[in-house]
Amino acid sequence: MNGEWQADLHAYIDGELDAERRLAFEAFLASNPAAAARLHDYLHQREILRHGFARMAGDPPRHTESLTGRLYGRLRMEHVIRRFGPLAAAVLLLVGGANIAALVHHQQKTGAYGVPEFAEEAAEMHENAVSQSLAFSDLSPADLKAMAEGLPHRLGAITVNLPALDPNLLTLVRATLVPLNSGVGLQFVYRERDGEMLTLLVVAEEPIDDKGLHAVEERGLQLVYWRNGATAYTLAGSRSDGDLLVVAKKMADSVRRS
Amino acid sequence: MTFSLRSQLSDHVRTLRRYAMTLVRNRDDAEDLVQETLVRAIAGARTYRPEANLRSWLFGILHNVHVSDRRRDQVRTRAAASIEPLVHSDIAPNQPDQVELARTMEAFARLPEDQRRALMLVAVDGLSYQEAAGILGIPLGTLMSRLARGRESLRADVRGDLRGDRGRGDGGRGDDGRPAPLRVVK
Repeated sequence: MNGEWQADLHAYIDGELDAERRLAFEAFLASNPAAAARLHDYLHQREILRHGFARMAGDPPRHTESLTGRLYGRLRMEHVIRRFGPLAAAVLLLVGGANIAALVHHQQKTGAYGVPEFAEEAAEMHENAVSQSLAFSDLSPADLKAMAEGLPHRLGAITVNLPALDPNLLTLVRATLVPLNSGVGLQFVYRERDGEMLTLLVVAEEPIDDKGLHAVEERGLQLVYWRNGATAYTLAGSRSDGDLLVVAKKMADSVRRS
Repeated sequence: MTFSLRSQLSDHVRTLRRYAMTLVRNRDDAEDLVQETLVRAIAGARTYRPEANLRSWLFGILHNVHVSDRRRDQVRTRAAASIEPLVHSDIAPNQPDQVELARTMEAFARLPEDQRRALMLVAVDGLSYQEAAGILGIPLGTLMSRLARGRESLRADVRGDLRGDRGRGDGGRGDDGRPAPLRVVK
């Protein structure tokens, strides 16, 4: 048995031969009893392995089934958010006044090392935004412009002021509702003139007396967060982005002036 | 993403459970590995892109969990000691076909891990060479080589067992109770 047709034998078993090679190999098998016997052995072996593992694995335990169901739910939610999130954010920003207080996430927990959970989540959002294609097929340029100009707006019972910034410095490329550990936030993705991507995550917070601008590093990213009344803002960008703190300060000033 | 997502996911989890047994060779540890994979998948669902291959994404998480598992060495030790009880508790060798089944599963457990992984993905779960190579992070040629060596080693091992000419008399185990090293089959 030479190596060449032995490779074909395995490819034949595994359905990896195209039609022409499959026919040629079957003709070869017809005239080569040793190869046909080896094929039979391997096919029999496969059936035994499948049967054996089916018996050993059995039915999944309840916890595995439960986790599978939860994963299904999360993937479905992500799918819906990807399809309709940008549009929903646009509607919320443009229409305003709708009572979505129940939707807006009330952050209470604090993450490790004193970094609020909303800031940690902003880092994750930014990672995802940068790693994904930012095709913005769900919104027209007119929608984007309206969103950018429509700031700030009321979000139900909570007033969320969004920063008004020079469009020559930052381009808004995405605005979407995002699921957080519990609840929903607003994510804005901007592109700076030098191509750097920034993520602004806005969430509702229990009001605390904190007027500072906090710069931290998390997940290898640079984060600047601040609060304004019942709203918390986190700007996330790469660690090498020297403008991030300046941009964050402009955003914070803009929010506090409005 | 389609309405068949739920059934796809169930199929993939079934595949993950079988594959996990080739990594840890112990049903409880395999179940832990799959459950931890699912927990991480739930937490990281945002990173899944609908256009990506869901099965490959899940396998990637499972591999990361397995590799980064701090209990890996401990699990391996437990697994090595539990291969035979696992096989015999599930497959009673009281009939000729049951004997062959038990011998095949034992011989499979003795294969090197890289060959077990390749056989499990392609021969048992029916993945394409391309997808299996992607999941294992190896070139296609390497995958095909592992498949060929795994199949032939398994065939020769089972055949030797069934003929009773293995000449080991210890059920294929070394002095320490662990699986004997793979015999070179030419």
